[in-house]
Amino acid sequence: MVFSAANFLFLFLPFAVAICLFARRGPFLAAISLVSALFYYWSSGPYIFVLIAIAAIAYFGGLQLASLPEDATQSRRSLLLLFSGLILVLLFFFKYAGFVTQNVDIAFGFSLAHLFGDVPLPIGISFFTFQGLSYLIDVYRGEVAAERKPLVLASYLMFFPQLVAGPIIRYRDAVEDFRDPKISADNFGRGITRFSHGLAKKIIIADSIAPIADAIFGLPPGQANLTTAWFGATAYALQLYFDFSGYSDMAIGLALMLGIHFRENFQRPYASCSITEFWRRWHISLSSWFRDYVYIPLGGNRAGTVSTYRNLLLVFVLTGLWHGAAWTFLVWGLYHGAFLLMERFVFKDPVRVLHTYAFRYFYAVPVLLFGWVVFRADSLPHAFSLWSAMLSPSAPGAWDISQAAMAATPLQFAAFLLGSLIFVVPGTVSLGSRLMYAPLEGSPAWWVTGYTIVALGLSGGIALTAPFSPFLYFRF
Amino acid sequence: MEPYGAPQAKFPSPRELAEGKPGAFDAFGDAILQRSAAMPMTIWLKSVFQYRVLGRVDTDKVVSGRGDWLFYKEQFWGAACQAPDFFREPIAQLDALTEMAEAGGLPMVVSVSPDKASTYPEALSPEYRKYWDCKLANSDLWRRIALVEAPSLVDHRTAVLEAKAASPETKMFFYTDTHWSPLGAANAFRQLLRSWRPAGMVNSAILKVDGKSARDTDMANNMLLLGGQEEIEGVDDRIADLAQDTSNVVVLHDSFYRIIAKQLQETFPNYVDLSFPYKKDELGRNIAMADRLIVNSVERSFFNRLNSRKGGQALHSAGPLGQAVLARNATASKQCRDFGALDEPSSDTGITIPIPIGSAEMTSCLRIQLKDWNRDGVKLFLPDRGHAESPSHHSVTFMPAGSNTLTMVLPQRVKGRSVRLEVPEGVEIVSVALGERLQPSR
Repeated sequence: MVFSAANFLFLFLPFAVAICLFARRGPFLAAISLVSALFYYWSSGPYIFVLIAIAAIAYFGGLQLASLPEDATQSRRSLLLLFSGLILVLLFFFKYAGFVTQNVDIAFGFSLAHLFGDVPLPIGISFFTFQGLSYLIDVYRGEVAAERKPLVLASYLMFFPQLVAGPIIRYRDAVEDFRDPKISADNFGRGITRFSHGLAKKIIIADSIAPIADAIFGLPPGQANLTTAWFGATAYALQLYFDFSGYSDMAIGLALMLGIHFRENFQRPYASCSITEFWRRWHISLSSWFRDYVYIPLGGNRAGTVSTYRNLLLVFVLTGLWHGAAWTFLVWGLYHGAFLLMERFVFKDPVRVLHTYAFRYFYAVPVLLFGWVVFRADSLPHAFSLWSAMLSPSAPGAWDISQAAMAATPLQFAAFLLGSLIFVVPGTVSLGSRLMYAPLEGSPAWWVTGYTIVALGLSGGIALTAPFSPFLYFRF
Repeated sequence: MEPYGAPQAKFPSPRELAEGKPGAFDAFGDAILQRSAAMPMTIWLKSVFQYRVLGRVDTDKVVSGRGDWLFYKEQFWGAACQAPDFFREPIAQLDALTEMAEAGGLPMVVSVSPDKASTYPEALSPEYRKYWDCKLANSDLWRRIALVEAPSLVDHRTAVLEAKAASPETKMFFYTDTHWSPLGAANAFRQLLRSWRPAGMVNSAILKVDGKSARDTDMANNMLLLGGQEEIEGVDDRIADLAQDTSNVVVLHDSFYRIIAKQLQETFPNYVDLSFPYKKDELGRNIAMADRLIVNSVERSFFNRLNSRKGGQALHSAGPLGQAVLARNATASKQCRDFGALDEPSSDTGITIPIPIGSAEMTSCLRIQLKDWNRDGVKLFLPDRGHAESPSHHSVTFMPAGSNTLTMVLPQRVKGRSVRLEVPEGVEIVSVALGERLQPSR
């Protein structure tokens, strides 16, 4: 069940919010856990056992770690490895075993893939396993105390706004809110506005652009020309951003309605002037997770240049694979890692040095668009054929726009333009921010209210009448 | 039936919900929402805004044409350009089935009602070309192929286009319905009759426009919930005065021929009306006794119905209709005599059988004795129509029916040529014999 589905908007959400608000002075955490479990069961059925297993491992692991004295380093490390390993085994089994065995079979002629061929991928497993891991590591590091109340930890791990597509929230950032939710009319109002904003981004923009990207990426290999390939890459880049950031807005808004504060997950990423800057603005919860739990423990940038580059590359290989068990995601991760390395090697402080419009439009944006092609492509050969088209300005018919024009209806093209302009026209994002963060009093409140009603009404109406459209990050 | 044309989602069982069956909760939610006032009201609001204000409708089923025209998207086949073989094989197979029906004493005519886009391509909107691109090319391609591979196929687009040219101010299709108008349908019916009745007689029957009436239309009402009605010209059709046929006619059709229900009833007072999807036993029973079989399908569904993998084999020879026709042919073969065995048949899974020319008043019969035939179909390939050097696509498939013996009457066309028989793996051809039957007078 996705946030933009009519079932969620008109049935589950009112029910869930009502239950939680009703229980806010009493069994609030029980209510959160119950509706969250129902939410996951609605979507994944019996695979809720995976979520419960992760929660149980994290809970008992945290208690075990806390039971050992701080100077029992070896024992604590072993426990961390044990419980983290259990979580990672579950992640590997459901997400990567099939891919690994397929490639082992190809490389060595074995026949192992059939053992994992039908293993389903529980929705959101990449998100809640990472949350479980971050909790255990934070307990190990002594940054948080182990949670003794199972309902608190269960609420944190199973909290439905971020359960299936993030953002990846840290226990230490959210635990106080779970224990003492800041439920107020102001937060509720802001939450609805934020939710409506995200819903509109998903339904009105992302879902309108999606058919363009699908049509172009669905062309047989070798059939896209230069114009079409770039149009398709741009369409997908916009679709992915508005889809994913829209979902994050909805998650943040839902949480806020229930008095829980989440950190921002996107900061206008296509305004980046370098790839380094991009990763500080895109899916911030994931990049910061890898920074804090992989990059820094490996030594970060403090163990020499070669180690720094190795650590960066490893982080991006893992980032790529986190998105999916496929060579395309691995190549995408390597691609970004390579650019990060290059920027660091050449510019030392790329965020500051490259901060000009020229670098943004002639370097960062084209590099990002190129990267999204392999991210979206069905296979590496598919990606190569599109890249080839994107780099062939002198090929016959390269600049013919009729094929690209065929991929969009007027409404879809309008959504594409709207999405593009948001990153080009100055002030559009600040307008959005003003609407989302304006005080709910005085004249701004009227604008905010009006905007919320329009966004929610329009998006809700489209959701009620449109076929199903899943969030893109739903599959990770 | 939900007013917007799709069955309402059913409530899942408590067990399905408890087991967390995939989609069960979504179905539960859909079932509630579809029965609420919210969904139809929202669809109506959206449709009014799109159709009456913006003049641009684009839903999963319906897309705007120019002006008030609406088109049903299923006729566009996802904008995919089809290769000739996509059409050639199913058309040729249907032609072979028609020939076998004829050979078995059952005159059979297949007619295809045109899609709106095939009849009014000028009404398609360039803004939505991504949906209908290739429709016109596909439409023309299969028709060119049918002229060669299935010359007896009645393509109603011809008649409707002629009527459209003769009366450009009169609509042959509704704007907001998927179907043709009564005038378009009446002209098509005349074309059908001319396939076996004297053209002069059919053409001389009175057909004139008879006022206008307002009708509910499916796209506007069922799919968009717009409500309202569309005015369309009625017809005064006196075809039955001149062309009435009291024989036992079976008409298998879809919703397009429902528009000429009155004409069918008056012209064929004893006709049996069957519509897709048909009941197998009822169809078989009626075909066994029919004097004539008329099969009609709208263009957008025609190839799905012919394709053995999709469409439930509705028009494929391996499906119930095809097997009923072949059973009728087998019944006629009981009058075959003078079977003479051919030389030792090949032990391969196929055998080519030359058919002697024989005398003009006789038709050829074929009897095949098989062994271990109990699962897959046996294919009979008739000679190709247009391409002497290419493998024939004109085949029918006999499905196992409890007997290892197949006896059939062959079409006149095969005399002096060869037919080919292919059997599934594991089935043995024990013997092949040729006989003949006196050709019945028509």
